[in-house]
Amino acid sequence: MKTESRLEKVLAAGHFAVTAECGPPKGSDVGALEEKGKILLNKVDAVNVTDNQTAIVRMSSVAACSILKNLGHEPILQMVTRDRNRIALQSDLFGAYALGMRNVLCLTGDHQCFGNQKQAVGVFDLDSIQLVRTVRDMRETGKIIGGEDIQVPPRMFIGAAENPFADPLSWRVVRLAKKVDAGVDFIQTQCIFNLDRFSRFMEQARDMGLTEKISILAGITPMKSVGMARYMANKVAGMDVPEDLIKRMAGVPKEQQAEEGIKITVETIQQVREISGVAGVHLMAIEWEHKVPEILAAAGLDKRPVV
Amino acid sequence: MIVAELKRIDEIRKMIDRYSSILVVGCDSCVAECAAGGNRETMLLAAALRLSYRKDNKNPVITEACLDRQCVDDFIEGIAHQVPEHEVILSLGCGAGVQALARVYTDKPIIPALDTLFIGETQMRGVWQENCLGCGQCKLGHFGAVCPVTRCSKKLMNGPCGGSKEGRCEVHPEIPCGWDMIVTRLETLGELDRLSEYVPPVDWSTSHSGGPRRVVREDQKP
Amino acid sequence: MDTNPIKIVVYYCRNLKLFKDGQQKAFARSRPGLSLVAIPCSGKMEAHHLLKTLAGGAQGVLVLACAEKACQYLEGSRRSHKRTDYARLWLEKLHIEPDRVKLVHLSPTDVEAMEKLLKEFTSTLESFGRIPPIAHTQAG
Repeated sequence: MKTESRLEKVLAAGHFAVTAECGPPKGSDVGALEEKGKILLNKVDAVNVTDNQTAIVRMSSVAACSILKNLGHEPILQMVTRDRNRIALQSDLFGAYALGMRNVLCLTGDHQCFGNQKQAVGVFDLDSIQLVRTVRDMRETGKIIGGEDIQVPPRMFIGAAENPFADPLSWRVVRLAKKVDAGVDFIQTQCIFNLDRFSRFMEQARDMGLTEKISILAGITPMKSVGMARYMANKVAGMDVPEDLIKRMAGVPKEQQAEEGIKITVETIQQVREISGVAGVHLMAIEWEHKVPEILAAAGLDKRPVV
Repeated sequence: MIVAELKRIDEIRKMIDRYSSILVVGCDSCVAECAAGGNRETMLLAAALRLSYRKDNKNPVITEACLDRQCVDDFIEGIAHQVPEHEVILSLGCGAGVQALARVYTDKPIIPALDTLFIGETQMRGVWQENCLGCGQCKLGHFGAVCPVTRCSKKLMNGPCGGSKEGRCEVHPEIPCGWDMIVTRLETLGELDRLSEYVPPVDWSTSHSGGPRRVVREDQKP
Repeated sequence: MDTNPIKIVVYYCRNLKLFKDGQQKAFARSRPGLSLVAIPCSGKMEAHHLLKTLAGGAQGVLVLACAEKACQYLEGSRRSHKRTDYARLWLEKLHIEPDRVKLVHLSPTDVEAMEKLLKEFTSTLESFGRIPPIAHTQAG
């Protein structure tokens, strides 16, 4: 094992891993966070705690991770490079490890224009690949950027995101290879609705030998309504929602759409499990966390391994 | 060149309303090129201000002048005889010009009439595009002469983010994805291999982050 | 006789041949407040000229141009539209009636049309009221 991460152990043991997302509150509401955390407790192998997602100000990821850890969770600290320079990022890594975090997901972050602080400066001192490398160097060499030694270096299990559906398409697998070289241990993909395209992406990843080196977790998002399906298809960058999925949601009366959405989700999970090289799923049920246990049970994934 | 835009008239008026004699000075270099502060624009602004004041029954003295370049000491002297006769200078120069005037005419308030935006190119008449932000460590050769610092909204060095859609940036569909441009260009040049190389964290100390910069060339001094 | 005639400046393209020798002065003399200025081409009038004319005391400015296809200099008459439009945009920004600046295409020698146009324009300007005259004091 490279780290003490529970997620690493689950993957190394060959189990089909399950991770989910937990967004911190728009304030210091510990109660709300713990409520969400309790729904997911023991239902997932690890939980992503987002970092000011969509550039909306929320409780810091490090703090929220710590609260969830105290509940009994295995948190994955998400870190975006949009808001902090290398000093703050490395400092937060020290702090997070000290508080017991063992997993980091390195992201660039949505541009600040999407959030509620549009006039803020975008830092972007590092990009996500440079952050991956930084975290790896901390673990493997015990040094920060510039080479100075760390007093008890953080040893994190390193994740990154990949979007098989973003442009330029030809570039996605090349960029993934770059992330692997930089030190990525696991990948969570953007949510998948187009199975064909995802299959082709996985084929390329297998051909490049990437699935031997890292664990790829397929991103899954349940759709609550046809409105949500259309919104994701048209308004969210890097999403591929096939027309027949939208039609399927639209073809069902409003009160039954949520149920249909869950059916589609479970089917997607089952199909994705069949694709060679997929090591697990990552459930992004934003503001619908209470449905996660139901989805996992229907997909036969609710009994998490003890490692 | 430097690209700027004229401020709104009401904003300009607010800043100069307290003065009764105004010297309006244009610049015939960069800001003339982007039709913001050249000779024509200076005459236009002066006439507009006169009209605007007339509507309010006011009549400050408004004089127009235009310098070849507002950021070079030799040229700045060109208005020396007019400056003492006016309470304020309204400059249509870029930020560099405004400040250079202030350095020379130390006892005169200098008010900017323009919002200075960026270093860029004229793509065609009427269209100016930002393409350089003066990082001080030009790596254009590595990226097919498309700047990832300026043309990518997130200054990414190792490839596009997940928000790139059909060659457009997630920030606004009118913004081309800088990385799409880099990849396309290197593909055309047959140099895509350059992008497989890891680009380490940028040294921002040579950019404005390291403090305001200054270049001194002894061989160029008189 | 109107003791405070409304000031109008008319820039007319020379190639319209509106006036025979000496007629221009007579025409203007009989219409107080009117200034007639011959220009080599309507395309010569740029936004800053038009605004300057208004700033200098005119209540309205007319630009008389040849038909677009009849321009002696090929492009001038066509370009003059963009320039007068820009001047009108500026007037909007200043909350001044954009119709104080107008570009009209005339046929050569059609003085009658010009007279009619002038009459209409004058009445329009009168309906707008006057931009205050240039103040004598420097009220600040």
